Amino acid sequence: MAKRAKTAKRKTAGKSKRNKKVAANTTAAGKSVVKEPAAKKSSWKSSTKSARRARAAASSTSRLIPPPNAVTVRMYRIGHGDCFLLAFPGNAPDNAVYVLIDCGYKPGSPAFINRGEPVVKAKDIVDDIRAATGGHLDVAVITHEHQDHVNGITKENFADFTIDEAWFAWTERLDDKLAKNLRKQYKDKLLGLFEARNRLAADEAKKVDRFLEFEVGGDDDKKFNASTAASMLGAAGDGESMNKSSMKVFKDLAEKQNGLKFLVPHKQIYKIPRAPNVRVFALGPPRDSDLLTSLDPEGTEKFHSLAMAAFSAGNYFAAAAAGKSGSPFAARYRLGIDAAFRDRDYGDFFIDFYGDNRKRARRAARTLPSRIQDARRKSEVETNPSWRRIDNDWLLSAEALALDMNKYTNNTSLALAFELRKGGKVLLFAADAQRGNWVSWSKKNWGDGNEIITARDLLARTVLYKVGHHGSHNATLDGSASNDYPNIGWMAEGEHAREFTAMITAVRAWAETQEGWDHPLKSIKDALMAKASGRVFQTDTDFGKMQMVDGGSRQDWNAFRSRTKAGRLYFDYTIAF
Amino acid sequence: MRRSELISEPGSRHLRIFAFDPSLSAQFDTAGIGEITIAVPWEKNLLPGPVGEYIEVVDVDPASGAMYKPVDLNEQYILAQNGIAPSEANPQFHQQMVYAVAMATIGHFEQALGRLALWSSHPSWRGGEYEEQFVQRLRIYPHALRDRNAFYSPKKKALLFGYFPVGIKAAGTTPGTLVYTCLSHDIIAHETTHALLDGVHPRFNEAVNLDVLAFHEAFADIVALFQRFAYPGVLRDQIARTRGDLSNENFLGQLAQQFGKASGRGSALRDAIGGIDKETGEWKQHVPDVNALQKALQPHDRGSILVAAVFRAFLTVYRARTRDLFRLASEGTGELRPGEIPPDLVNRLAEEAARSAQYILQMCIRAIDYCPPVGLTFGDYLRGIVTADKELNPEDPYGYRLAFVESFQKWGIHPAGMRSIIPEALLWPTLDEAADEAGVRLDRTDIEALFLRPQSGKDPEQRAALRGSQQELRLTGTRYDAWVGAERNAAILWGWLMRGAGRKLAPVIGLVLNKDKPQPTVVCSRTAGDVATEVHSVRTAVRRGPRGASVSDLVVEITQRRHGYFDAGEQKSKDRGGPLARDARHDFTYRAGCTLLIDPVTMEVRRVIRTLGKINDNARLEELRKFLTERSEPVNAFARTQDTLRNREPFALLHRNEED
Repeated sequence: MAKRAKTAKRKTAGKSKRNKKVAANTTAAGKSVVKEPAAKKSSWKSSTKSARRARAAASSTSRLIPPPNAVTVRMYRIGHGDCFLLAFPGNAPDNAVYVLIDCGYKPGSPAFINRGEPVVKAKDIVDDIRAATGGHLDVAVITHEHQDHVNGITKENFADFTIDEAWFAWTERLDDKLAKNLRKQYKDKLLGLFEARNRLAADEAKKVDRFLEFEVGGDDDKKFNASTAASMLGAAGDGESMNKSSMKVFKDLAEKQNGLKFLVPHKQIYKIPRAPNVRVFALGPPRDSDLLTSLDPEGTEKFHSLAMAAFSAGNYFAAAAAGKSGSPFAARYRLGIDAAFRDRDYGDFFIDFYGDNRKRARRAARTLPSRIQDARRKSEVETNPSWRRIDNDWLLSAEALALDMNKYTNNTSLALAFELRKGGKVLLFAADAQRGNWVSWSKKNWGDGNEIITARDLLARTVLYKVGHHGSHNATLDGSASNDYPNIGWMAEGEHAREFTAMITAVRAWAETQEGWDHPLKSIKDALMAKASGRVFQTDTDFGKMQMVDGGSRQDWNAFRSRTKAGRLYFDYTIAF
Repeated sequence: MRRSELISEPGSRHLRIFAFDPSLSAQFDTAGIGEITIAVPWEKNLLPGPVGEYIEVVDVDPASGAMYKPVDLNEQYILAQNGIAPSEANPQFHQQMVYAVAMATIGHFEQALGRLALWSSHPSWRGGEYEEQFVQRLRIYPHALRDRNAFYSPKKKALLFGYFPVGIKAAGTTPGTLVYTCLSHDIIAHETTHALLDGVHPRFNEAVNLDVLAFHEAFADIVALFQRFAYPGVLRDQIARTRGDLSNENFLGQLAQQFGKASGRGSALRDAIGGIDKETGEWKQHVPDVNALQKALQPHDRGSILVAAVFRAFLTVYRARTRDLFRLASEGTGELRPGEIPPDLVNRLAEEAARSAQYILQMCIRAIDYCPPVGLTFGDYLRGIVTADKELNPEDPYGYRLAFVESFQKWGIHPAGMRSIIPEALLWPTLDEAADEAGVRLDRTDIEALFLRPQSGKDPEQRAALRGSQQELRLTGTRYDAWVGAERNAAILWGWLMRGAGRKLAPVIGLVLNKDKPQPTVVCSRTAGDVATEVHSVRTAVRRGPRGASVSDLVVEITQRRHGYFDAGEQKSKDRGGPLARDARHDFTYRAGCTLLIDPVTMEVRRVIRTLGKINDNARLEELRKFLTERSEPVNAFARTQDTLRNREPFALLHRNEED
């Protein structure tokens, strides 16, 4: 249906919509792609500029065309972050089908890729996407709401694109009760964390900021700033983070084509428009409709239960930080902190055993019996030293909670398995899924006619694995084929092992500047290198530096080399169906 | 209040508490055992707070901007009804409960160790001089955090308890209601134990191998678990429910039910007897696994193996001790008829269970004096348990020691380098055995010199002779006196060991002296230029065996240290280079040394407990380097954050996030 709507619109624009014509007649195609949005949005100022840009880029030579019966995966070297373009063959050789997955990076990280050379900008990447696709995306996927997956998606960058379908996880759905509830809690908690960080000392606040930046976004031009971000979010209750604005860009573009989709794992097998043989399986984020009514969650289901519990504790903390939640106890037991020190009955107790900096006079002895007072001893601590107080200790939970929240958002990742043809090879894009997301993959199966397709089956056929969360701990589960949860040991069985290749989106040198983030984790990279005999792409590693590991098959390595094309902006890797 | 002269001071104060946590009182099934009354020692000068000799409860809740009025347990209405009635809504009850449970835990420690409990000292710099200060009371903040967490802060000498709302619907919890960690008997006992263990072994906070932090956790769990066997009502109820078979699922093996359920586990936080089987969803008893320890790398996972091993030892003894009762109650078959068991049998079984549990708890606590001063392993701990018990109870008629050894073996816990694991072989060596091993001949007078002759040294304290502190021996005197005495004893012992006849002992007890030509990275003392040797506070312990015999010990811990570098090359070049300053830059500290148990009455060194390597042992240093650098491969992408949190409060994070 979406396709029909699109066709209609294209026709009203009075141009042929078929991309093969675009290829044949560059100038006309360039104009058609650009003018469409320009005509609709007359206020779009830079339209002429972007028109020129598009025209220059959309030459036939720079189009990404996969060989017949093969898919080309373009891994953009955008920085420490994800951006992938998948080109499937369409119904004609030069009429490819394009799927974009994420477009974002950690600010500052691109400069660490090839030091000394000009730094790759997000705009350069987007220009290449435009050139490669002719400005049209059949599917645009945003896996989750984290800065390093979305901040390349701005109005400026993508306004002249057309998008047939935009795919999001079910957690983004506006009319879904569970998703709505989660989002509300998430936002309350975020606001509370901002409050908490404002009350912390500068160096502590910085630690919390590192996590908050993930959640609200920012790029090299518009840097993250805690105070403006907080005021934006708080504005009249419906303010937006930069991440949200990025996601809206794709949502709006797809909505024009009626192509906004929210994927639910295990619910159905999804299709890419115009690529009838390719089937897509959503593995995560887990959704359990019984979640809120579940009376006794199993001890082993960590994601639902632990995450939910952490969430509500986080909100309670956040409410306190925002000054919106008072004491749980009745007023008769309670004294305000300042009032307590002046209280006629209890003031001395709190001064003596807790201490108040504003009250210089040390009256520690007053409530103590004289026997103890006389025996004040030479090497004994005071009864009320400041180092024993806990005025700000509770705020230190902010850092741990921010870390929780980061994990939570990672676990809302839309994890996708692309099956190239029925029963054939699988490309696994795990986004930033962490343990909770992973273990849910095999909890349910897919019905396929009379057959059943399991996560184990999909993983066994995997020949390309986009490594979870920059290769961090718990984002690629370690294990063996005999374990009962999905893990690296399940992947690439039988002949698929000879082709198995991994892609790590990490800039190691930059990650090390972030107080020692270990991306990718050595043990995970080692495991992948061993499993893939060295066929592991990493954003910051030039193709020339990649080497087969000892004991690998020379024949497989040569085959791998012949399928790879590499440059400053990206690696192209082609997989036959 | 005027004190009557016609009646003497009471021995104890009775206070009501939740037996486990509030969740059980709210269920019809378990309401009968939800609340209990326990007796804690009567403190003459108990102030509002409560603030007593050991504990000060200060109820500050900064997240709520509130302070809660301190409870006065001497108030007559409160005295008349065994304390405030258990209630989640009354913060003064919370104050009462943390006080009561913490005091009970301290009581178990003092009884087992045979001495007054002291908290770890506060390090301070006064006028540029390092000095340790006495901390009389452990502070307890019942409402310190809004978090699913509770922890002991070694820096603040305080327990910080958190509270949080229930986030999910789970059996026994209601979403939105608050869970107070300070109302969980287990969590209070657990955290108090952390503080008590820190008072005995401040160096057990240093994670120099996989077992150290795990031990801290496991030990705290063990104390919390076995402490509950002292509550007869609960015990009888659970014995009746399980028909005397405590290896079935029951509350006595489970820790922190409400906390576990409210934080989404669906079950208690930890279970020493069994757990939910992933496949069947049913509760299943743990089956000992000799390989479990190799797979478990997180402190809590490893700790739970130690707890399971100890609990299994308890069950073995309990079964052996009750076999006759089961036979009597079943016409000799040993197989009970179906249905409920008679109350007489319940009482007798409860008695046996309480006795065994009490003894096991005492064994476990006593063993901490029989551990090396740093780098404890589970295997060392087993040797400590066996040795400590042997000294007190040479015969072992009920087979406690054998039960421990067997259970530890089944869980794959072995002391390093042991050729045999019968209990006798696990005993730590005596001084004579150690001297033979080192090929050194010692004279009896060398040891007696410690007690009979003043030591040499500049410090007048070092020039005294060691006296078994009479006050400590009789468990009288103030704790401050005990603390000062321990420091003084340490100075004397140092004089004897480094300047006096004790110097001969060095090779026997694994100390390195200047004449051994240690590497330059071994830290030397500022003044004498000799290898810096620290003697930690020397405590006197008097333990009473089951037959009334008493054993007294001086517990001496001696350590030396060495600068370590993450880069093996740097280490090598520093070790080849010239002398290093005491405070030269280094990446980590390697410590080695020994614990000595000295009998002040017979003037004998009873046991010598050495760390695995000496301070000049390069292989051990390399092992530590490997452990530290490989461990620093983070457990999480943001490991540095977790590391800084951990340095700030070593126990805080342990209690929080165990899963992603």
